[in-house]
Amino acid sequence: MLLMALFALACAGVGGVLLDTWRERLPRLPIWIGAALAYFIGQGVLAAGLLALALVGLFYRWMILIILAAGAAAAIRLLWRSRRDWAACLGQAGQAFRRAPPAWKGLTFLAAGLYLYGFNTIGAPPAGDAVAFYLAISKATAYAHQLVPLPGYDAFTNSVGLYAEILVAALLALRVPIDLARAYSWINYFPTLVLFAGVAWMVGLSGRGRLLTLCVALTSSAAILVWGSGKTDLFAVGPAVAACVVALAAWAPRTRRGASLLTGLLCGLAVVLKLSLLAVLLPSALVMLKWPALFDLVGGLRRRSLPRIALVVRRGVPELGLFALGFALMLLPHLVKNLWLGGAALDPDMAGGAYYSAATTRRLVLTYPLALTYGRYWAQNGNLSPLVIAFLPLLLWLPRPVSWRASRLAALTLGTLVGLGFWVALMPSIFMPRYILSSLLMLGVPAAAAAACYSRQGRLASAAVLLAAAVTILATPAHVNSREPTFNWAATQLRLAHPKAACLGSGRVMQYCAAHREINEAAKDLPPGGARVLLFSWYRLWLRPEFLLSTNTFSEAREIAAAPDSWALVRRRGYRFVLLDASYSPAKALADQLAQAGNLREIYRDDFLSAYEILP
Amino acid sequence: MTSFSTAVQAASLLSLAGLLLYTFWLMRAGRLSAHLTVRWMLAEGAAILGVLVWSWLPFFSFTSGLNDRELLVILAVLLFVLIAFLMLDSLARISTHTHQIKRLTQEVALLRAASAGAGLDLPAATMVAVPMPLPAGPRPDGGARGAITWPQRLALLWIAACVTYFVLEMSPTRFVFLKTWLSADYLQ
Repeated sequence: MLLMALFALACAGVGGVLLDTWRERLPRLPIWIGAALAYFIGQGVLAAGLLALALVGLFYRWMILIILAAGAAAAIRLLWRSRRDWAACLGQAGQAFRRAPPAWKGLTFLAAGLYLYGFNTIGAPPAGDAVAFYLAISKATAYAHQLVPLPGYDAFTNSVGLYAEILVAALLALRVPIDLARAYSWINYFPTLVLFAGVAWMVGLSGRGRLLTLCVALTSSAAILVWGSGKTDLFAVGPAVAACVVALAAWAPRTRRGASLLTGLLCGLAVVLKLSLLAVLLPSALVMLKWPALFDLVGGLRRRSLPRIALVVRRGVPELGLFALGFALMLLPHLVKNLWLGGAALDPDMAGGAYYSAATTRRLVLTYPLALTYGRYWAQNGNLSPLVIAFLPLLLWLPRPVSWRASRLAALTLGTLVGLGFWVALMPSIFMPRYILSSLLMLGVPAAAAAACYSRQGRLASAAVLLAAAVTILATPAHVNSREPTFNWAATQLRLAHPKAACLGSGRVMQYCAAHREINEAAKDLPPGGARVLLFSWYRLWLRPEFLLSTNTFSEAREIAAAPDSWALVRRRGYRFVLLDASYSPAKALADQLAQAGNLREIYRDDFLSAYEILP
Repeated sequence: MTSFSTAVQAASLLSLAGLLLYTFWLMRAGRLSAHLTVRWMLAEGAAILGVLVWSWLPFFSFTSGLNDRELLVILAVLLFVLIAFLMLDSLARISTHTHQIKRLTQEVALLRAASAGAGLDLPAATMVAVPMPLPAGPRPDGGARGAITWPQRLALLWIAACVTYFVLEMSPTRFVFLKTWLSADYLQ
């Protein structure tokens, strides 16, 4: 945990130094928002730097430690310099808390409790995708001191953004156990929550509104299911929310250019971390950034005033250019990585496809936002908080803004809806809230504004809002566990007590762990590089790291399965171990030949997995 | 790549990273202008990139084929060219600045003479501090207290329905129709 704290400090330090250097050109924000912003900017810069080291094969522990120590030292220096601001900020927060009614204080404790209880999500087994790729590539990179395409996922490695995986790989290189490294998403969610409160503050919400915004972000199972799963979807949420914060703060003329560049940087970072955000975040951020300019443009068009339109365009073009520059700067390391590993900067196959028939897709789209909150679609992996749908009709009680042009809440709401509209129009059949989570959670801000306003209508209204939030928080762990066992106190304690014991827990994923452990055990006397494992399965995390790097590619598995003399081919290519998963389609052909092959020792078998050693 | 060249590469990278940090610190300390800093940081970034990819560069194979003496001569000439270029560049800048300072001194002297004639007293320097405006706007959560109206009652019922469904939905036997309506399998 100390190493993870060092990591967090280093991120804040690197980002803090950068923000401090250009502070004159950036909007001045409260110190707590600035710190969270610095954390995500620093994380992006560190990830890009570590990616460069990993590409050239210099991903060594001592190198990472030097970088982190420098970043942490910068953070400590900045903290010391701003200690009075922090003391004043904490003092104000304490006073506001003391003034709040007891029931709202209770809700604050419940929300904080749910976040802290979230650490227990590492007790559950890691998610299948993490066992197949996300954690496996981090483990392989940490071992090889270099980023190389993961066999079996070569094309995917060459096209997907790997900033988050590189950060996790750095933790593993620092010898943080894999199960503890899974908590990194959960730790990252804390500055994300700070930024959600920051967005709420930006649009003018009081403490009550900010607390309800946090309740929405904390009770969305789409986020909770990723906290300790080893998947990396949540890494993109923080930079995306930070981009919205800066875009909304960018309306002052003096800092508009600097803020446009920073918004572009943060959007680029979020898109590298989650490519699906390209369709949602870009339109959202642009609407928020150019909200007053859009009003001026519409005003000019209405009055047919060419000079006015020309003025808006003349001012807007350099700012949009800076936005594009920032976006490209953050995207550049990712494109270099793609070129370096795969020879192509962009993969057109990443555009996605259709997951449902036309009729189901139509029904899905027509049931928005019910589907988002209560839907149970294939691979959906969690929902948006029910508080959003419960509170959104309360917008009727929200007072009309004095000026729509100056209303940040209107800019945020419309920007978010435009982004989500783009997603539904472009990818109606891909229904996975985690892909566009930042925008979905942003809907919590207008919902919280409405609920906070409604709660002032009387005691009954206040009690209803409080009760709804409290019941939702209390029911969330049980609700999430009813979908997928996620919160597990006992298993977490066990993992903390035995951090190096991998196969704790039960379930289908853990059966792979048992099979991998048996293969590792059988190969314990073999020198590194002395054997290869033929994997006819997607999952690979718990194999020895050199096996991860020397196993077969997906096309090789198909070639072996299709060859008339599969078994001879397997021997010729130097495989010593074979793992067959009955649900992996190419495995069936090989399993038939296996029955007739000799010189084999079965080392593991369960209801769908079998592992063999090929005797020399 | 041999371990020796990896060690040399790591040492070069550390030195260049140190130089980069020093340049950055010079700017933060106000001893180097931001424009010059950006140029130098780009140059240092290019050097870091060059070291990172040196084993793939043709230069590496070219120098590997040279004798020690030839290599030393080439390095000495390159170093001389670089240092001479930097010195000339710095001297050119110093000359420009000297010229500008001289002109400004003359202009200030003329201005002071003119203002003294007109009876004005110019300050030596003017410090302008522009605080950034914090986002401000109408707090949307201010409202009047009153009796419960029908829309408010409907809102209460809606909130209760949403949260109750969320809690009871955990049971697999409840709300089966709604659950079927809001679910689908892959390619269904």
